[in-house]
Amino acid sequence: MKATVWCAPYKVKVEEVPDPKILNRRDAIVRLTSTCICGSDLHLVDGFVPFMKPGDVIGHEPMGIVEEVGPDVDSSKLKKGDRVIVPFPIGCGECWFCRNQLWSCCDNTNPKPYLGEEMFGQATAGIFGYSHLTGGYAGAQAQYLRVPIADVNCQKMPTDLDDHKLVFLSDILPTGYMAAQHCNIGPEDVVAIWGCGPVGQFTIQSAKLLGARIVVAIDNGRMVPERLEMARRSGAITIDNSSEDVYERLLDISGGIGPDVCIDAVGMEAHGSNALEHVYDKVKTWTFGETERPAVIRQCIECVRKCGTVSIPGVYGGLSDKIPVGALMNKGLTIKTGQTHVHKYVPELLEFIKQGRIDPSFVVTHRVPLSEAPHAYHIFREKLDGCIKVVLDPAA
Amino acid sequence: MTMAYSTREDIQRARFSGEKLQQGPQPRRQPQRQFQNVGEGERWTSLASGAILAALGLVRNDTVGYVMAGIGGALAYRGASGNCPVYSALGINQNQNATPQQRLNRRGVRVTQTFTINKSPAECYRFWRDFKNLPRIMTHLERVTDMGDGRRSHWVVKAPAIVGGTVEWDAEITDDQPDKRIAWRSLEGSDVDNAGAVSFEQSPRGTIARVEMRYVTPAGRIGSWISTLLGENPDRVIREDLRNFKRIMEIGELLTLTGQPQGTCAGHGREYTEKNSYMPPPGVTR
Ligand SMILES: NC(=O)c1ccc[n+]([C@@H]2O[C@H](COP(=O)([O-])OP(=O)(O)OC[C@H]3O[C@@H](n4cnc5c(N)ncnc54)[C@H](O)[C@@H]3O)[C@@H](O)[C@H]2O)c1
Ligand SMILES: [Zn+2]
Ligand SMILES: [Zn+2]
Repeated sequence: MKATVWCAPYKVKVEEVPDPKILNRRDAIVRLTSTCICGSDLHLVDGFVPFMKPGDVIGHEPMGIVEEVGPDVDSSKLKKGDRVIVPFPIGCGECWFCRNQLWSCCDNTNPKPYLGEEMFGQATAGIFGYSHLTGGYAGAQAQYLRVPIADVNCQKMPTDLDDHKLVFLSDILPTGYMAAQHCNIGPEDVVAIWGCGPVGQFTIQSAKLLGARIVVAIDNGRMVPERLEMARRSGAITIDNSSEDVYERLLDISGGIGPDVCIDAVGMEAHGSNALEHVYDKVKTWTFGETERPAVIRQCIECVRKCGTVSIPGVYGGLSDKIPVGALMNKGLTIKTGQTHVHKYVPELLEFIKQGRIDPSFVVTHRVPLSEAPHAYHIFREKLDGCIKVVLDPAA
Repeated sequence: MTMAYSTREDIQRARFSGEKLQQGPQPRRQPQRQFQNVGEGERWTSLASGAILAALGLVRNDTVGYVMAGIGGALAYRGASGNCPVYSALGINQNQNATPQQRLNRRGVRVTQTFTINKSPAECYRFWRDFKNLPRIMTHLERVTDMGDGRRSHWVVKAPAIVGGTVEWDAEITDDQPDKRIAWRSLEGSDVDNAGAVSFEQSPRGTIARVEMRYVTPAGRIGSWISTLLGENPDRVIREDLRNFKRIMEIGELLTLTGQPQGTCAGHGREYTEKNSYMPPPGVTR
């Protein structure tokens, strides 16, 4: 089959690789009909995630049709021919974490937990196509995907809705939703969201859906005006950080109080808010003094109101420098974060989609054949051609 | 920190006096990680070389590679945190003056590990009490056979040819409390003197399983092979074994990656490289 393969930082290829096989008794093989490129994949391409091996198949946002099931798959839950989305974290359904809906922290699905324990103290769940720190599973930017513990992980979908309405249930729609949902947004609240990528877009929609009074979206109006434009269409007030002072504007919008909730939907490759900060973080990452650039976390902590909440769906992997922990403590802030517990949110969000309260397909700007993945990575990474979200077509 | 390992003398005394291995929760030999025991200059070298080693390790498509990656990750951690788990485990503290006793080479090794398992103590006990099941969770074990009287068993570990192909011993059960605790130890004439115990305790989150193992590395070829097998970090091996137990109890099998698709990065397929496509928008620095 064709698959997108990570070869080195800044180098991905589409290659012919062996088809996946049933390897465990509860595996299924899914023939993919849509599979996406995510901002998280850019962290791999840019070499910010060290636990990659050349030849690793990447990708973690798929949907498709079940082609084959292993002998122990519960046939009352999953059968050949079912249309499914596959959440990016792999759950087992049995451990304490899965039973408490904390799916991305599953104890049993990461085959290389010693790496996570060394890095983080505890290992997280297995994730498709996302480095050996999360298990080293072959990823989903391919024609077929092997899904372990398939009757728990494959989420059945109705047949009368478009792929583009459903495929984002695998990651970014629940991610944006969880980022807003675990902040207990109330009807008085001002919610500020950094980053108007696909995750930011769904965070904006979720904050609106959850009843926020004002939603503010922040990104770079010179680099990605189309993303700010999309945020405005969803009803957000926008701040262009290339020409406006984010802190001042947020203070003004929130009546001098600061936003109740600040959400970092940017992650570890943030552009610094000023040139000096950006250069500082770049030098530190080059010299291994830190592993990422936490400019947005710093800004969230600074801008959020006293006793407010900072939510971090943006991905970080290692060690950051100059986090204003004094402000964090003295202002009495709450931090909410995590890889998304996708399984938990799928039923609720699918209901919203069926009712027409959310139509996630609005983020799609490009649908291209899987064989064009290298080109798609290029335009997505460089924000060319108005690119916001790419869906790859494995059949084309 | 205190020296938590037993010496060869300890384990032999236990063997001959019939003294029980300690029961219940043990102070983990795993060190507290909070304090800094690595010198400042060494920290930066650790962080840098660790990150590089981790990356290089993963480039290798084999076990050695993962070990390198693991060590690399640990080095990076130690550089970043100023705490080295290996130093602490060996009782080495380069930052303050370590006592000579802390620098003593260990001869007998004692390791403990703990996991919580979503099954009843009875189910956990039943799996473990049937020693034939143990090779499913202890990856270096080839087989354990019952010697007929329900108390004695024969254990076989896979070993390379230079060591004779296998390392073997007979063991007897020294304590058997249904649904609570099983302890065993090797008998006279073993290739490796060893003893182990597992206990099961009910908790609101499932059964807490605690394993304790002790062994004395013998002199000679078998000894040096065991040292390579279990390496600097025998905790890690026992930890993975007990984790396998948890996983088999909870989900029935161990998830594998062997046989999954992997690319080669060879040839001239379509590719994206930064060099041939890097075009920052006007006015943007990266
Ligand atoms: N928690 C999870 O489970 C989860 C799931 C999916 C994605 N993510 C993460 O969410 C983040 C965003 O993903 P995406 O797909 O939207 O990525 P993306 O790269 O398309 O979007 C990031 C956006 O942030 C903007 N940005 C950069 N620096 C900024 C700054 N200082 N202030 C404001 N905006 C800034 C960029 O211009 C870009 O528009 C990534 O870190 C990704 O890894 C997390
Ligand atoms: Zn994603
Ligand atoms: Zn689980």
